[in-house]
Order: sequence, then C-alpha cells, then structure tokens
Amino acid sequence: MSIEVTGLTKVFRLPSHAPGLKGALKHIVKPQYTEKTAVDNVSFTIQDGESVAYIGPNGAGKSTTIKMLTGILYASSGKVLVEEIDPFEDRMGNARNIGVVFGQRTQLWWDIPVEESFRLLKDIYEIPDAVYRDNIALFTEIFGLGEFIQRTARRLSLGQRMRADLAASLLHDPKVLYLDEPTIGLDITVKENMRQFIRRINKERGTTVILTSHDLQDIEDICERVIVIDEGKIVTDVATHKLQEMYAHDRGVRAVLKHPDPQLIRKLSEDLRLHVTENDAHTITAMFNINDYTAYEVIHKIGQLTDISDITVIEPDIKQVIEKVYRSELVVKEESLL
Amino acid sequence: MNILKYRGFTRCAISEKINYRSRLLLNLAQSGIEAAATFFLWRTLFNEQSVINGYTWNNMVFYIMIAFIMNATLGYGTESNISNKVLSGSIAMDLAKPLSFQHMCFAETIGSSLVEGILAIITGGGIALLLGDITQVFALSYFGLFLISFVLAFTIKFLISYFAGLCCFFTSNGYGVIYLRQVITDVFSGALLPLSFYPLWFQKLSNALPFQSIVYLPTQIFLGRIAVSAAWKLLGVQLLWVIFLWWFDRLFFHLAVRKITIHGG
Ligand SMILES: Nc1ncnc2c1ncn2[C@@H]1O[C@H](COP(=O)(O)OP(=O)(O)OP(=O)(O)O)[C@@H](O)[C@H]1O
Ligand SMILES: [Mg+2]
Repeated sequence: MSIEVTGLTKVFRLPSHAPGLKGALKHIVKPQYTEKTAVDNVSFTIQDGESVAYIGPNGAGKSTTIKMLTGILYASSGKVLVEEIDPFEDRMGNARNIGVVFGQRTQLWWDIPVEESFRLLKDIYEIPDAVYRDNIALFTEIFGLGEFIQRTARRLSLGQRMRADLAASLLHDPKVLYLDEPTIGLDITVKENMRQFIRRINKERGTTVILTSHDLQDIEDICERVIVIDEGKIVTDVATHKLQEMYAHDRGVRAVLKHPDPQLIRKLSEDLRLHVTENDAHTITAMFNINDYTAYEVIHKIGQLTDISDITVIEPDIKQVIEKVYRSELVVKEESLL
Repeated sequence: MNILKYRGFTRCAISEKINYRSRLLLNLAQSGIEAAATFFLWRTLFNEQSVINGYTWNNMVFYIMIAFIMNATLGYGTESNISNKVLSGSIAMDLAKPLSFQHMCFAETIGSSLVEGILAIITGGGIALLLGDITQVFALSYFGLFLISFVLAFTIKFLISYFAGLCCFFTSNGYGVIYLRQVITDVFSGALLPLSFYPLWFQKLSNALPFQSIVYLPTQIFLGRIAVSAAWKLLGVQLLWVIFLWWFDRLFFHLAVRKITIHGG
C-alpha cells in the first residue's frame, strides 16, 4: 500500500476581529477566533503505482491535504501513512520517499543556476552518481533542459521553470509524486509534454502519482482514478473510466438546418421529449439520454421534420461529468465506490 | 547524519552574496556608519582623558574594530534570509526535503557571512591599523584563542538570529523582529559600549545572557585584557552557550512547526 489516510482532519484557527483600529485593539484584549475545517474526516487508500486525481472546486481542501501528506503541515486529527511512514513522526524519512511539485512555488533556488540546484538536490537526497547522471540525461532529453540549465531560476519563463521543477522532484526516483497544479499557466505544448512525461514515469517506474488540477484534460490523460473533494469532504472516489460510463448518459446531436424553422424546437420537444436548444437560426442542439434513444433515432427524427445540411454527434466527456459533480448534480453512492 | 550534504548551501550562499554586491555593500555601509559614529564619540571623550575605565584610545580603536567586524559578519542581509523563508512560505519546500532546516540555514549563513566577514575584516581592519598601533594591544600568543572565540561568537550570533527568524512563524513583521534582535544584541553584547562601562547590576545581567559572547568576550581576548587561563574559561562559557542554544533552537523549531500553517497554495 502506498498511501493510507484515515479520518484526516485539519482545522485552521483564524483570528477574527472587527475591521479598523477599534476591532484590532479589542482583539488584543480579548482574542477571538473562528475555526475553518479545511479538510474534514478524509479517508482513502492508494495502491503502489496508482495515478490519482485529487480534484475539487477552489478552496475545497486539496492543497491542505497534500501538505499534510508531505509532512509540511500537521493534521488536527487523523492518521497518515505514506510508504509505511507517518510523515508527522518522521518528516525526513517520508521526505526521502516523495517528490513534490507545487505549481505556485518552486523548489529551485532563485539565484543559482538550475544545474547548481540539481547538484544541491543530489547532495540532499544522497543520490548515487549513476542514478543522477541517468536522470539528468533523461530529463534533459525530454524537457529540453539543456537550453536553460545554466540560467538561474529567476531568469526562467514559467514553462521552463515548471519543467525544471518537475525534473527536480524526480531526481531521486521518489516512490510517490505529489503534483499540486503542475500545469497551471502553461501553454498547450508544454502541458502535453508534462502529461506525457508524468504518465511515462508512472508506467515505467511505477511511481505513485497524486495530482490536483483544474485542467480536466490532465486528469483524463494521466489519472486512472478520481477523488473529488468538496468543502473538505470526499464526495466521489471512482475509477476515471467508470465515472465516464456511469454518468455519461447525455449525448447530443447538433444539426445545421437548410432552412430556419421556428416550429422545429417545439415539435422536437413535444414529440421526443428532448432537451433542445437553438444555437442560432440555422443550428440546434438536441441532448438525449443514451438509455432512451440512439443517435440514429434522433437524427432520423430531425430529418423527418426538416432538411439537414450537417450533423455532429456530441460525445459525453469527463468535463461535463465533473462539472456536474462540482455542481452537486451528481452524488456517487456507496456501491459505486471503487 | 551526513553534515557534508549541506556544503552545497555554503557554496551557493557565497556565490549569491557575490552576485548581489550592491546589497552587500549597503549592509557593510550600515555597520560602517555605526562604527564611525562610535569612533568619533570616543575620539571626543579621549580628548579629555587618556585612559577611560582602563581603556586607552588605542584599546578603544581595536575594540570598535572587533565590534564592527562582528556586526557586519552575519549582517542584516543574511539574517533576513532566514525570516524571509518563513514569511514567504518557501520553507514549505525545504520541509518537503530530507533536510534539517537548522543545518541548512547554518550552512547558508556560514557562506554569506564568510563574504561579509572577509570584507569587514579588510575594511575595518585596514582602517583600524591606520588609526591605532596593534602591536600594543594584540599578542600573537592570543591568536589561536581569539580565532576559536570568534568562531564560537559567530555560532552564537547565528543561533540567536535563527531563533529570531523562527519567531516570524508567529508574526508577519520580519523587520521588527530583526530590529529588536539587533538592538538587544547591540546593548547586551557590548557592541555599543564595553560592558565594564555599565553599572554592576547590568553587568551581572549581561553575564547571565548569551549576548556578551558575541562581542565582549572575543574583544577581551583580542585585547589581551585577561590571562590565558581565564581566556580558556571564557571559551568554555561560549561553548556552553553554543550547545544550549543549539538544542534550544531545535526544540523551539519542533514545537513551532506543529503550530504553524504554511501560507499560500
Ligand atoms: N493557512 C491557512 N489559514 C486559514 N485557512 C486556510 C489556510 N490555508 C487554507 N485555508 C483555507 O482552507 C480551505 C482549503 O484551502 P486549500 O488551499 O486546501 O484549497 P484548494 O482545494 O487547494 O483550493 P485551490 O483549488 O483554490 O487551490 C480554504 O477555505 C482556505 O481558505
Ligand atoms: Mg490549492
């Protein structure tokens, strides 16, 4: 078992005082606090070599959970075991097993060349020469590090910095890799490059990957499993493909019409009980449930009513599904858990 | 545990200090102006008298020199480096690594202080040699003792600055913390005034605190104001402070880390 989390909870205590000087003075005399439960009784287990997306809306508690798993932040209650080590009791031992990338931070030293940062990491993790050489060669090839490895981190573009950071987190062959928004602010090609690489590390080295992201493409491409957290609580924990299968009932047909037909929407809605929307005068979209109709039936019906010049079938994708989860339109029941 | 794995931090801190020359020189100027003010103050006082409280003018020149060197070594730039790690939250990345934060900061501090120290020794020492006669105050037989005392003084100063940096876990006013640390150190270390100039109760208080180990004790050895056997005793006092503060800081860090939340993300 790679990661075992039981009843993990983090309560932040925030000083609360009325605005202005008066409020501040009052706070000195009689401090008042409000409590914020950022992570609320979270439990899950992750097997060796799994790739898990840990997602949820802003402020859901993702980063807070990751910080606790890495041993940076102490839990208010609950238990964490990463590779059999309790990160709160043995921070250093845990640190040897993990690699961490926080999209908003860097682990490179700002004012020294990237190459020097790597060398520092070699010392810190006591990486054997051969491993270090091989990894540097591999990462340089994949990420094109050669172009900027001599520069200080301060002088790198965001994309370059993120690639260097990801490389830095993997120099010591960690068993577990935490990625907190690793693709934030990157262009499409760099994102794709990073995704491919993470997938490769996960497959070839069996590195357990835990990733948070707001880019659902990251999740589809990298992760076999999705854990959704909202307001500190886990609301979904399911295999990525199952999530799609289970909830992706909605397909759509978008039809471009030869002649605008104001009556068409009403007719379709009444005859077939479809959810039809008008994109513009010539285009309509009909959404339907795959248990009720096939795409052919829907297209056929529209064809009977009017002349069609073009047709597109809209397949359900994970984005729509996860958006629904976020909007609490979908709640995963117990039996559908992994 | 492998101490050598921290040597890279020292190396990088040295090159970083050299790359940021302007900041380095500004900080040196700050200590220099302080030293100059003290210097001219004493100059006026010594116009009236040739010996004050057992110090001749020549003694005082070298006293000010050591105080200046000690102030400039591990200066504001180096000290704020520690509190910045805490305040910016970049400490999170350090904690996610198999590193002792204390060892890492010490290794970095050694590096940047080395640059600051050498610069201060060249400038401060050079000026003092022009103004005073070193042969009258410094005996070569004390050189080894002074060197050890200087290293211990530096370590104590680091441990106090490190503690101040850790206090930033509990306040966001890093500048205030450092300023307070500097004022207390200036007064109790003897950087402003040799401790023998203060009233007796104050001297007793200073004796019980670690600050006098930073400036006063090394100067007493440098100026040869005490016998060799007494000097060894002072080194013992300094060493005890190093050991005590080292473990005190470690304990404080472990307690603080449990309480703190790292900002951002
Ligand atoms: N140091 C802190 N002190 C007080 N509250 C905090 C602190 N850090 C986070 N929180 C609160 O805890 C909650 C969870 O924050 P967290 O950073 O884990 O969210 P997240 O899921 O990572 O969100 P995002 O997608 O925006 O990064 C938020 O409501 C946040 O305001
Ligand atoms: Mg976050």
